[in-house]
Amino acid sequence: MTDDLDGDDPEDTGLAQRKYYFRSGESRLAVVNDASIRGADDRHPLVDDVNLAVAANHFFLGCVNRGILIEEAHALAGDSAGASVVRWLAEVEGAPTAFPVVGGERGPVLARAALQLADRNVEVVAVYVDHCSLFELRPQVDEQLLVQPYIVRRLKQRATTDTLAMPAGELLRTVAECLAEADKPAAPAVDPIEANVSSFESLAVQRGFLTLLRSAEAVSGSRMTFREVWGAILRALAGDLPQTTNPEALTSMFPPLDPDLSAVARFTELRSRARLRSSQAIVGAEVPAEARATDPVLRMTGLVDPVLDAVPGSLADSGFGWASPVLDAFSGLITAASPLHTILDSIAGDDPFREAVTDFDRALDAAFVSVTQPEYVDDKARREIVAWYGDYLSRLYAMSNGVSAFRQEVSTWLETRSSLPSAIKAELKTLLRPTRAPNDPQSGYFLPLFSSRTVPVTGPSAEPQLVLQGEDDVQIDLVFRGDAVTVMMRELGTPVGEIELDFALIRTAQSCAGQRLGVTEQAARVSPRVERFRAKRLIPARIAKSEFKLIAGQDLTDVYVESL
Amino acid sequence: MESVYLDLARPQYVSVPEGLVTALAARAFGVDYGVDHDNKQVLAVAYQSNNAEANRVTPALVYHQTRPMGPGLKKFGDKLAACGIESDADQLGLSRAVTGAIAGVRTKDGKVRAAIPLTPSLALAQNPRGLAGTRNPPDLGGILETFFLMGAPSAAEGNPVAADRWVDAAERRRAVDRVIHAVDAAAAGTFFVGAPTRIACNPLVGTSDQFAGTPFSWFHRVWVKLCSPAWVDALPARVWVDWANTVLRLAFGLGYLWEVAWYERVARSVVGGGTEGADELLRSLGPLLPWKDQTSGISVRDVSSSTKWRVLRSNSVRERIRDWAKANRQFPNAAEELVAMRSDEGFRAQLTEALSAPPGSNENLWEAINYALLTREGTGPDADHYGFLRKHGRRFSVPDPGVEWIAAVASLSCPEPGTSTDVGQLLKDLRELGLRPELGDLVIRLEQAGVARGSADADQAVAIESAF
Repeated sequence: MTDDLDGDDPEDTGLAQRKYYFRSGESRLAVVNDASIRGADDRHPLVDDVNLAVAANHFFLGCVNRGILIEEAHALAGDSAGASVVRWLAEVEGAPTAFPVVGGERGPVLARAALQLADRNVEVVAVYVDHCSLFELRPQVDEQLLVQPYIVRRLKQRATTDTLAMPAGELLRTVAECLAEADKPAAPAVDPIEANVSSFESLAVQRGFLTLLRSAEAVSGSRMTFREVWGAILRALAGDLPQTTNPEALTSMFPPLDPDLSAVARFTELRSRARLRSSQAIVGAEVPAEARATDPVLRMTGLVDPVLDAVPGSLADSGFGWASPVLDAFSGLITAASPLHTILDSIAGDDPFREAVTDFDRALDAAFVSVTQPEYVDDKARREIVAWYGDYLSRLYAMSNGVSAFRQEVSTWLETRSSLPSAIKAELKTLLRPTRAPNDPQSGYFLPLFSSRTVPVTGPSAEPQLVLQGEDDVQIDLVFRGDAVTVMMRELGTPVGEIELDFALIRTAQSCAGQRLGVTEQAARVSPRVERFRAKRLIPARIAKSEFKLIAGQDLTDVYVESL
Repeated sequence: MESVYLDLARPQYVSVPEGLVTALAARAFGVDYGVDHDNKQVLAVAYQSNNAEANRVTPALVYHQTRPMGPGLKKFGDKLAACGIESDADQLGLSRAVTGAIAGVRTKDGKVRAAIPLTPSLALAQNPRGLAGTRNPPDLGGILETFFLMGAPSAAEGNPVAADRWVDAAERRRAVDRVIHAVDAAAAGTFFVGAPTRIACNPLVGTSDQFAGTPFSWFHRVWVKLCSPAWVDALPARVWVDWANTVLRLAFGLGYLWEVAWYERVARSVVGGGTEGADELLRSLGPLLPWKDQTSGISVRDVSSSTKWRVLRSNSVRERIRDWAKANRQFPNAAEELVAMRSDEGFRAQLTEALSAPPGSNENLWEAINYALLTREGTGPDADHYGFLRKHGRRFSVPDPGVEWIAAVASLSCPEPGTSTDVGQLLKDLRELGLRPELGDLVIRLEQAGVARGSADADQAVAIESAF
């Protein structure tokens, strides 16, 4: 943003500063590059910066995280233009002020208003950059500062999406291009980092990798910042070496293999190096679960490790299966046949997997074929090696094609960011409002009145129960706020509940079949929210106009309750 | 502060969560259960007792069960019809349905079961003696009122006490919920002879700001909020009761844990020759329960052994401070008391011994704190989603609040139902309770409870939406 401006700072210390100045003609711009950088005694430095800019009539640009706004808004004492702006940004009410921020508009991506000073008005614009995913097309703002709609690309659209138009895609391609120009190692065939660089020279592989990361956002329910995207790219290129290894040791880390090595030793060495291969490293395949949970990248990407959910089928089919080419390669007796060659023989000519496969993978594959011969390892060791290599090829195949675990749910998650397909709509109805008889959609929705858990009656009731009957005429709509989507349910047009449509809810809803409730590993996370959603039907205002029933065994009888 | 000795009544553990609301209700209403007994006996009433307890008579206690059984079900059904709830086919079945629906949680090995205190009549379907099974249980209602007064800011002088707040909330519920209204009337006509008699409670007197920033001030603020019409209208009847139980459990458990920490802090300051005033001591109390994040090992997160040891040892410290304060009543305030304590070599030696002595016997206090905070049943129809501590094996208890605990406490940090707040405000409220979770861990728990969605670098600005 400051490329065309002249730096106007007294000196360049070479260190990152909180604030920089730029000049263009008579105009001066103050840029707070990182509002998190602050002195120990600064209670509200952002407020002070805004006040300085207002007093000197400078343009002002600040990069601020939301936490700073809250901290400063709570630390404020006294009235000032900066205090008003920070309160407006933080959406915190304050005392009456001589510097009101008025008018304008407040959207999810962009807010604008006017700071009223005694002698002039100052335009204030806030851009909420955490609203949009870095794996979607960069949102555009026109010259009138009107925001174009934020559009989430569907899973199938991603195979043809221009990755350069995504902020994360642009970064990945720039990094890949820089590395492609770097010197090659002495033994590229056995160097996993060189293999990673080579794979990422393919735009198709880049696209698959970006889709995997976007899937991780969907499943984890959070968005990556540039910091995490950098972390993901670094991990995909070099695994955990940056954290564990002295840079000077890297140059001699992957020497050529001794031709006299035994088949077992050769495979063991290559297997050890393979932990750094992109598809292994990005999901933390060899990282303990506790460490994955605390790593800022792996805590997201570890959730979408493709081998968690290797669904048989082919990517060319209409369903969500993908793993058959890999599964078929291991389906027969282990002989001298190469699983890698079997996969390459079975997939389409333009499958991105072809571009992901490198000399390293071919060397590993040859070592696998050798080591699994009967003379080298016993059955138990062979089974373990086959399982590991099956996972290795599955991940490589999946990553290059943008396949994550829970692909169907991820696809639905992406689709529901802009519409509500009829299939998930029906499943949500089943999850949120199961009917008394699963096979009879007209059998009614009945909620016990005083239970500690709001679980509707499904099936016969062993003990008589006093229940509220929900209306049959139910509408489900979605409310969109960037990546966040809320399900709104109405009975006869009256809102009766809302719940966030996140991955966990989608997965649980899609486990419902034939109007019967399903259960997944997400139950602990979803059940309380779903029960709270149902409980909203029991608040006094909604009870007032409801009908009640007595359920005893299979029998259902009317209960009359006098109005107040 | 008049004295560093707080003279709080000694507690016992509360057998069922509903007992706390019942204790408040018992301060606000008098009731005649219509059970004959002689003057030396007192009534121990439970909504439902096991067979051995149901109608037992001892020289000191007459046990009485209010849950309609046998022919009583028909009578209760008739009352329901008279009060406005009628089945067109099966009034007896309706009677059974309602008596089952208002039965509270069944605790493991529990001898009695309370009615869910949705209304005054249901709260009085049991009494503190019946739930404790003893003639002289601690005055739980009085303890809660003391905590409520301690936490009341000076501006609250003359405002209603905790029991009156609850009565207002219950009246509001009766006024807006026709089912509750009818069930309450039917229960009153079945469980008692005549309607419960309202006992006028005195308004708050002697409020001050001295306990600001403690579990008492949190209790006062949140109880006033929860009992307000806005929150009564926003919550389903059962959820409101569950949240009320949660607030009272936390106030009860953490209030006594605060007392333990307070006496220990005073004792260490006196022994160590500190110069802090009472207010400084009060502000310098550390977290009451260490709350480590979920990725730490169980043994690291365990609070059971350290807290139990601390609680058991606190009795001798408290007794020495009590004895000294009673023998030295001439000091007008805590500040002068502290100066005198520090100059009393003999007293300092006593405190030194008390602080370093092996844990004494103080099981009642430990059980009261532990059972108030502990998750009772982990799974099943009587699962407790509102506990704060969770047991791991026989040895460990770790801070691991249930999802509904998180939803309730976070929502009550919001100014109104249907509004939002931020994690910074919630952390502030939790600090008041003596809890200091790590930010990242708290955000994960809020996300799991479905009341917040984290945003990178949002830090304390992560938005929390009220659950209702």
